[in-house]
Amino acid sequence: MSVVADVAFWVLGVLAVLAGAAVFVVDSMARATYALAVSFVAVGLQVLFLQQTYVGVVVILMMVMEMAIMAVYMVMFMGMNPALMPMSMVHDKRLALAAAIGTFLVLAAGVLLVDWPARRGSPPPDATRALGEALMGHKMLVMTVISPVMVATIVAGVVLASARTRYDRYGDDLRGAPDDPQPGGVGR
Amino acid sequence: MDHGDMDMDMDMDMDMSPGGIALAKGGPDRDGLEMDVLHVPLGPVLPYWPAGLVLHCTLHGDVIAAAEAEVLAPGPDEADQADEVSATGAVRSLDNVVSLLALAGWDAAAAEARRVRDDLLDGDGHAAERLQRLDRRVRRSVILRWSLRRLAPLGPDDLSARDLPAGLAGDTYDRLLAMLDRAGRGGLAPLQPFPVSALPDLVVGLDLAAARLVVAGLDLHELDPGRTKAQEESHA
Amino acid sequence: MPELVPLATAVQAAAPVWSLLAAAILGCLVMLAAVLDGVLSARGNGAAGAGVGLRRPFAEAARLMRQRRRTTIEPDSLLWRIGGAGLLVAALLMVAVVPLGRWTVFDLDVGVVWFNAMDVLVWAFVWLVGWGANSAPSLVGGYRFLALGLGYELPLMFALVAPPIAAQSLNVGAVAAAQHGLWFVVWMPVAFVVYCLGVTAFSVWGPFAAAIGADLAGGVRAELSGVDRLVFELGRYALLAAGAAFAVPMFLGGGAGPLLPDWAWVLVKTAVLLAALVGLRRRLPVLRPDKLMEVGWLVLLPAVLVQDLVVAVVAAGRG
Repeated sequence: MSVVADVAFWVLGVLAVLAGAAVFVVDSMARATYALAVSFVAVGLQVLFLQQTYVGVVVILMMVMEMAIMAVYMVMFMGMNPALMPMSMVHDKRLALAAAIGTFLVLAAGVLLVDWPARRGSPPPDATRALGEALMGHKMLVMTVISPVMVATIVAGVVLASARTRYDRYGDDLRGAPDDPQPGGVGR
Repeated sequence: MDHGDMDMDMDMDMDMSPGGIALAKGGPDRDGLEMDVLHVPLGPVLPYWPAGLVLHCTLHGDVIAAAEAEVLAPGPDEADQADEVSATGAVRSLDNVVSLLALAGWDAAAAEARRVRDDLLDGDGHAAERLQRLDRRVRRSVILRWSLRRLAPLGPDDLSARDLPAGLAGDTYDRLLAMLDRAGRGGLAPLQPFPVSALPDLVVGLDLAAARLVVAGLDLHELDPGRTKAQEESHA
Repeated sequence: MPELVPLATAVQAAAPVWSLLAAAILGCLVMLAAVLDGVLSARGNGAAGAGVGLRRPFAEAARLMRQRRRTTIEPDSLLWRIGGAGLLVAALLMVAVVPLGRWTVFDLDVGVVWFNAMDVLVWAFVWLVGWGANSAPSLVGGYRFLALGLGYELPLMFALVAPPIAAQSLNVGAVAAAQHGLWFVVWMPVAFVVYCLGVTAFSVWGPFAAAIGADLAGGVRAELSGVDRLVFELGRYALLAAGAAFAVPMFLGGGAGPLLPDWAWVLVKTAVLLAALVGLRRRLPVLRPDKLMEVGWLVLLPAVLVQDLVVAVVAAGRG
């Protein structure tokens, strides 16, 4: 990679760390959320530089959307922390600090001391297909069936956890007009 | 969230007020959550809003949880001028049609309704057929019907309980069609004054957009302030 | 299958000159859209002659540039200005992956996903504009936009999936090239319609303009004034233009067409689609966000998923 690309990569790395630290330093929930978004976007751009273009762009996409939604919930639930008033985002300082430093030391040791193997041969021409076949291989049918099962489980979980179900809306006999504080757009 | 080890360097002084505005207090909302309470007055001067009407809303987010309506009385000189306004009931209804269409975001139809209203005021002969065209256009719109359906439906019992005229029956879409109808029968006198004390009941529980559509759909020609709080207290 | 250009060389190829040219073309399209909107508004409001409408966007821009900047009590200025300027930036980044004939500013091998990521950035920016002003109508407008977003974004994402399935590539140039013979708009009409709705929605335009509605005294732009307001409005038009430009390689055959060179066809098709989207604004009422969410999830999303299924079956049958 060229010098410009190298410099850009390192700058993005520093930006990601600083933005992440800013999450705990700023005085406002909205600013904390978007500092986190900046950090994620910087990491996504770094992943782009690692030639993983799809993963990088998808990281940017998902993280920005998540931060947009998260800002709503942060503002809604962090009741006593108004915008731009001094507030503290850290809890349980000593334990957190110990855990963070410990994890960093373990990971750094792993990165520096492990004997990483050298590459044998070169990647196959259609890497995605080869990877897919190696991972899923003879179990393709299972993989195909698992996805709808997972979706069904998620939907079922949400329905079971919902506070207001169709019996609350329609009454016990499930007939008549629904009793909603605000009617939806499809007329159900 | 574990508050035990949390560093309480947050100023827990209850007089926090950034910029001089006090912080919002919490209150239970319609879903049982505790939401911040915001006091927002709508009016007395807003585009597409009956002049002089002030609706003091208590908002949870953008849902109106409580409201109080009052009318700002005109000043001493304006009271004489008010009698000289000669706009007929038809023109006033059309004015409210303009408001409702503009609030529903349909600029083209609102502009057309405005032209028809100007034509009616000028006594132009083509106003009637233009109004017919507008009426047909409004009736054809699926999106407008979808937006305004089931918004503040009023049955005959609701109307009689709140002492409202029978012409306001149905939901906002029905009231829009009734307004256009009334505009078509030119030369009518303005409708009787609307009692503003009935207004809060109609808008509580709706969000701001829906509430403004409902108020615009009520075809308010004149407002009856009723007895103010001071008058009620002095009578009690 | 086009060769996958490594990212570093793609970025180096995006010489500043080409980026400026892309920005200039976007600027021309913005001017076209603004003038068209001005003419249609003036005509709709009964002004005689086209002069008033043609002059209006420029007069408005000049007025905003010399208008004094208003501010509110305790706004979050940093977030406010970032939100306002961000729309224009997002539009420029979107247009960077659209091929103008043979040339692209940023020929990314996952250009379609890049476009999708840029249109999600709009979520953040519009909410920030609403939040930063510390004003009730502004904030309500920002939240309304997020509510609308929940309704339109997923159908838009699935609509963007359909052309790459047929072209078997996420590269925008490859999708454009795969349409020789039959344009995608012909056999993916649902995806095209949902895409156009998505473009209108992320530009806060027309039927999806609840966030800037008249019932909220302008919504997110209630407290914007002067240069900030101008940049916000330019951003909206720029997003509309960028969305229209992106539709050309995705659904309308790229540069294909008789007589004119391919870059000219791209511009012509973009202009036509842009004019159609601009004309939508006055003709349709604004959709209410709370009602649109159900429509988005129960009507649009299944329709687009069925469309994707059809496209996938055809692609699997062909390839």
